[in-house]
Amino acid sequence: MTSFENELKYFGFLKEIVKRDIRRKYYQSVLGVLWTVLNPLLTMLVMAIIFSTLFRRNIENYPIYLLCGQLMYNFINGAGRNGLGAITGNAGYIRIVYIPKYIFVLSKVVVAFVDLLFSLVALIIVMIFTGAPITWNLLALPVLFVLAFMFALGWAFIFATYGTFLRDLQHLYGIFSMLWMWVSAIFYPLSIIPPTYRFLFDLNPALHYITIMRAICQEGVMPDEKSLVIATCYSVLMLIMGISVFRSKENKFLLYI
Amino acid sequence: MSDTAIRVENVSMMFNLSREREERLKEYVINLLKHKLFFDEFWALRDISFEVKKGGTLGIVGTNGSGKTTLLRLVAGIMKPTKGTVYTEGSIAPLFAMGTGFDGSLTAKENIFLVGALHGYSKSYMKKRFDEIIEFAELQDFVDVPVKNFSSGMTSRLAFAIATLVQTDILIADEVLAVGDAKFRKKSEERMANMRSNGATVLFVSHSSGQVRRICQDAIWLDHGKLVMAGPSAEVCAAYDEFCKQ
Repeated sequence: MTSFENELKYFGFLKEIVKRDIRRKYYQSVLGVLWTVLNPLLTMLVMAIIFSTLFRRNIENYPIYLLCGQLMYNFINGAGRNGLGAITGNAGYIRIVYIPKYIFVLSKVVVAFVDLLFSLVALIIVMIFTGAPITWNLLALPVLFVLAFMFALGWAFIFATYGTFLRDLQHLYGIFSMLWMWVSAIFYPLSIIPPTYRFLFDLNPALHYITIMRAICQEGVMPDEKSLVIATCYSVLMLIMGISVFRSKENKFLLYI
Repeated sequence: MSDTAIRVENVSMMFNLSREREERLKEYVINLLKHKLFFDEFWALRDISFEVKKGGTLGIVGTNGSGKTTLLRLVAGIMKPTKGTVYTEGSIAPLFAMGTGFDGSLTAKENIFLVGALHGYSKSYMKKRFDEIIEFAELQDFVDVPVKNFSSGMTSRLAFAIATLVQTDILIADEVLAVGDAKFRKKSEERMANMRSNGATVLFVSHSSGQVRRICQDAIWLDHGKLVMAGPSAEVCAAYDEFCKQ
């Protein structure tokens, strides 16, 4: 068996654990997977009611502005949070057979990504209802998703690694998520940020993916080259960093689970 | 192609007990301050060497904590030895007492596909063999019941049925047969004998020297991570029984 076929063998398992995670998430809920569509819709509705009066003049089509930020942030943040438990949550498998451990991290990111894809239904519904520009530029979305996926995977690798050794990270991550959410300008326009603090936002990788998504879905334009280049750099760097951190520690996981 | 299925050469396995406990930040910092981080070594195995020929059966006996399971995990490739080398040839089907890989909230049916995929079998293949697994495990009435409601006997029957589904080159079994009732034990021993006669190599671990005697030609005896004795299973088991009586 070539090594490629060998890897391919594990993709059947990847598919099964992704299905398991999705099934478990909606275990015994009446609406099941419909919640991935309803959840962003309802959150958007609540936020739109609260914030639309505040920022009405600054943002055109606030619901789409909000949804783009929310979906992208949820995906990247969710990948990290899921990644934290990728190794510890699958200890039962890691203890009994040899299986490449990146499969578990990959599965968690795929689960978050499937959520993102389902939520797109909500986005499309709102785009139609609010009369957002539906243009050919939407075809650039898959490129953005590939970049965001690379970033999320690298991010998840890092948290999967350290989350295995330090369980405290699970608690810290919640606090971190909150901070991250507020510097991702999901609910408010970036223009309200005083220039002195703008650099904090520019350093936030998530914001670049969100900005690209807004350009495509809210403004109906092609994202500008500068932001694409920055986003690509973040994606490649994060993925390389994640893989190298994970690979340097993965042989020790068994002792900590 | 050699005629050796498993070769273990001068294998030692060290665990750092103090490092394994640092799950909490507080403890980590305290240990760091006390400079205790890198001490407290524990050698689970020391300088173990043995060889199993293709088609051979090797039993491993020893008291609790003698390093039997660690040794199996090394052979299965789940862990890497601190020193020495482990060489295996062919596909490995591992069966461990400490876990079956089942997810309690999923039904028997869902678990069969999940664990089947874990062992690298495709979905279409598992579909073809599904009825056979259920029949062997005697779980016809429990296909759609979550595994958390199963008794330990039912769980281990299912685990055994999946792991021994195909003819593998090396079967690693860790006290799996201890849980089932006498009838199932007989059936599973038959299946193992069948696999053996088809050329599989078996590595078998048990507290019960009776089973080792019955299933294995050769045996090794581990005590506190050291190889005490190796030879024909009857002799090793006799010596081990003698030791246990003391």
